[in-house]
Amino acid sequence: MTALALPRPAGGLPRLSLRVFLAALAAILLLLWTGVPLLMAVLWSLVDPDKPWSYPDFLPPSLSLAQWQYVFTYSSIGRAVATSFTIAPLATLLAFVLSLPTAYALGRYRFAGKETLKLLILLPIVMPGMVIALFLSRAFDMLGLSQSLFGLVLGHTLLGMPFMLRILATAFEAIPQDLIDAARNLGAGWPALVRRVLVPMVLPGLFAGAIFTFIASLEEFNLTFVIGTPTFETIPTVLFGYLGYHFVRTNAAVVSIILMVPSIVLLFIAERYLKTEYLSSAFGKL
Amino acid sequence: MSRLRLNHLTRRFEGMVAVDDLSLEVADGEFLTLLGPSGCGKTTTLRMIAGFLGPDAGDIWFDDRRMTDVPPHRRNTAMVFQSYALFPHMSVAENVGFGLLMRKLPKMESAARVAEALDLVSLTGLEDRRPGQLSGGQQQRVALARAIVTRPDILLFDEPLSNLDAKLREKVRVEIRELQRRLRITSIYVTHDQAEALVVSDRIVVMNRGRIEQIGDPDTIYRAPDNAFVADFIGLTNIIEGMLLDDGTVDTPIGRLRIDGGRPPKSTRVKLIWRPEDMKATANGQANRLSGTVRQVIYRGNVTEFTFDVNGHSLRGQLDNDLRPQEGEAITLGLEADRIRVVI
Amino acid sequence: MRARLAIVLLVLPGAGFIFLFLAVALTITALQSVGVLGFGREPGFTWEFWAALFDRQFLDSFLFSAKVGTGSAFGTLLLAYPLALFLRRRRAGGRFIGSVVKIPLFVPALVAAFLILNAMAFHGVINGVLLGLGLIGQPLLMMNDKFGWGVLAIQVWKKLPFQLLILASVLATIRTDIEDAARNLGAGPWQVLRHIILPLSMPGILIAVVLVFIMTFGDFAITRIAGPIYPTSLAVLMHTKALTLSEWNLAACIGMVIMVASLAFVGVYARTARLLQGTAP
Repeated sequence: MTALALPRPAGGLPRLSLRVFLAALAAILLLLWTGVPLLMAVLWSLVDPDKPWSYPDFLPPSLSLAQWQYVFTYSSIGRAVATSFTIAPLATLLAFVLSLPTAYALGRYRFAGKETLKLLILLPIVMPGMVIALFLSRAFDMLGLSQSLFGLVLGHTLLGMPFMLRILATAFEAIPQDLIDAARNLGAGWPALVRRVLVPMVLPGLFAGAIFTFIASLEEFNLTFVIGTPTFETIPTVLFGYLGYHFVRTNAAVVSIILMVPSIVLLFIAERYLKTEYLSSAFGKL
Repeated sequence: MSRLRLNHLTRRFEGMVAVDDLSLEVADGEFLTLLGPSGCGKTTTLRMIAGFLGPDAGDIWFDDRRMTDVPPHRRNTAMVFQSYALFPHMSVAENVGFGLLMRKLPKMESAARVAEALDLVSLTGLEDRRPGQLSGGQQQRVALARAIVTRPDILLFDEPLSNLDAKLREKVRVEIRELQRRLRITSIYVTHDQAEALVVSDRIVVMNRGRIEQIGDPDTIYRAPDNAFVADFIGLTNIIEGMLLDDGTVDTPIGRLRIDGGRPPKSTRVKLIWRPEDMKATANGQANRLSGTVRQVIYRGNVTEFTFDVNGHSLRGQLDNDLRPQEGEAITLGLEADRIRVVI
Repeated sequence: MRARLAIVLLVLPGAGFIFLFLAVALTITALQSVGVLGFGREPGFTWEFWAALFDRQFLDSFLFSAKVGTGSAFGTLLLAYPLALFLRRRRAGGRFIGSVVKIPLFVPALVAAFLILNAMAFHGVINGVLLGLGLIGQPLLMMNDKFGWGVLAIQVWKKLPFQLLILASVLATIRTDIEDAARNLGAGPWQVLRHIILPLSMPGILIAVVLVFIMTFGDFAITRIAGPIYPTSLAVLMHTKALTLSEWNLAACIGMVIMVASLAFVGVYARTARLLQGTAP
């Protein structure tokens, strides 16, 4: 039986087309699942108040920035933005200062209880936020930290530290011991070592940690809701106001976008310019 | 037990050709080794036989059945992987019995066959251990047992001994050979270790860059290589280029050498190949005499290998230990004409 | 010894800060639940609050939270696991799908609540499309509904990429040669999944489920926004009792319940995570 050699499409097995179909289907469904809600939010924020958008119109009859104007003029969003963007950098700075030595120890030393410590560090974001917020507020009340900016910064720092710590620890872990040994060998004392070797090498990690902590602070709700309002409003508390019992769709849409944009921009920067290990250490490989 | 036929198999990866129009027939129950350097296409060929890769052109036949488009789980082959690939979450018995589970064999019969396979590889008593609790050698045996228990049409070996230490490797390769002889399953064995190939195979396929350089039994491959590549890949070799003269001798940089008949047609430019052990300490009565200075001496335990310079060319020699030369010593060795192989 | 001291000093600022605040919160909750701390009443140890806790309202809330917790965890799993399997082997469009799927990670929880609330509302786009296609005669009530579908939808939307990342990383640790060995021995695609991939990814599945459960069980904001008035989640009940009704002691009891449940599951997570590290290649 001398069969002739017949040419065949690369890959061999004929089930290829089924896979391609499923992939395309999954891609479309995912796009709809993720994109439609986002699109709706954007559209609703641009609805012209004089031409309401309702079924059966598929798209808003006309677009205008009137809602945006309204929100900025008549709501407390302006102050809220200022407050949010004041607390966030302060909390990030404080988190960095507190985390630096701990992250160094976690990244470069081996010691008993290290794994338990790593778990403890995760608790602020895993534990039920409202429980912590509510009962911490009792303590804050007693200490006079309620309704104060300092109290809010402390609270936001608490919630940002898990990210900062984990990312910085990963960054420190990645410094090859050889580099430190070489620097020491060439005569570097501690200050020089920190300035010329450690800080430059963890700079990307630092940047990533700062971004995640900043975003965590911008998005923080539970604690701010309990100890901040009504004196201080942040973007999330304003948004919550429009989502609760007074559901004002258009205002909520505007504030949503205001809340989302900085987060997305910052995370885009983080993902683009930094290694993805930071992303997965922050979100995934818990 | 099946005959295997590979018919003009071709497979490309990202532009380069991994397997190039390869055709091969393997007899039922034969132990065939695919031998060659990394990248020669041997593993690709093996994986095509297993069904993990589809060829770009060509066909694969088991007996009279065309297997080219059959998915791997329906081919009734069994592979012993380089990394053993034992299922970490299953016991030894469950690992070995997996193929039988897939074939829906009743529990009693499956247990009996598993016991039989474990006995064949001398692992009786370890049924309930996990792979993580076994040594490398033991894991390898489990992989072997798992493969043979299904009584496959074709048994495939993907460099199964690479992760074992030298002593164990030598022991196990002989055991594999014995086992295969008993079971008479058609086996395809991939390795880059030529010593291994010589020990286990009925026939060896020497591959290079996706093509077959030579097929033959171990003795033929060793004694009568078809070309310089095969000669160089198997064992140690001396290769010298020269001009074939009309009187039947060859003019080379190390002198005029006498060769036996069987010279290649047409070409006057030839390569002469011979093994180090073919050069004898007594030069008298030998057709060729080679004189030079000993350079490196390497003690191998049973023999001594050495290099010596003849007219600026380095040749490899091998002598018994009691005849071993010293570094720097002048030496003359004899080489019979029929020991020299002539290739183009 | 000096090294030990140095490590303690280094670890103190970061870990100490976290520990301090968490410990304070936990202590206050615990003390309030037994009346040692109180407002507007004589402080003194008592079990009366715990005794009074298990009324109809609390049990309904507990069940609601448990239901939403497990529903979110497993609902997300149902979507995330197949996706993770799909993305495992590099396929055409894998990168695109991988990027799109990650978007909800970057959307703040409150915004996610709004987005889904908006889409699933009575006058939202989903009802609009279904009505338009003639699939339903009347708009569906999907938000603030008694069962909690609204909350579930938002949680699943938000947590999907989170579970996906965990599952994908676990699946990546399963060596392909093991899969090949199974196929070689006669396992078809479903059998490979059932006998090899599922068992080996069990620890990862457990972690993914437990984490999402913990996060959704104690949720406040999303349930307040998209959940029914009654029953509501434990966290909302707790908040109402504390700040609206000034029943701080009862609120503390509820807080303890949420905390203990979460800590119990954190324990499960920790145990499983250590197991995973053990089997990593």
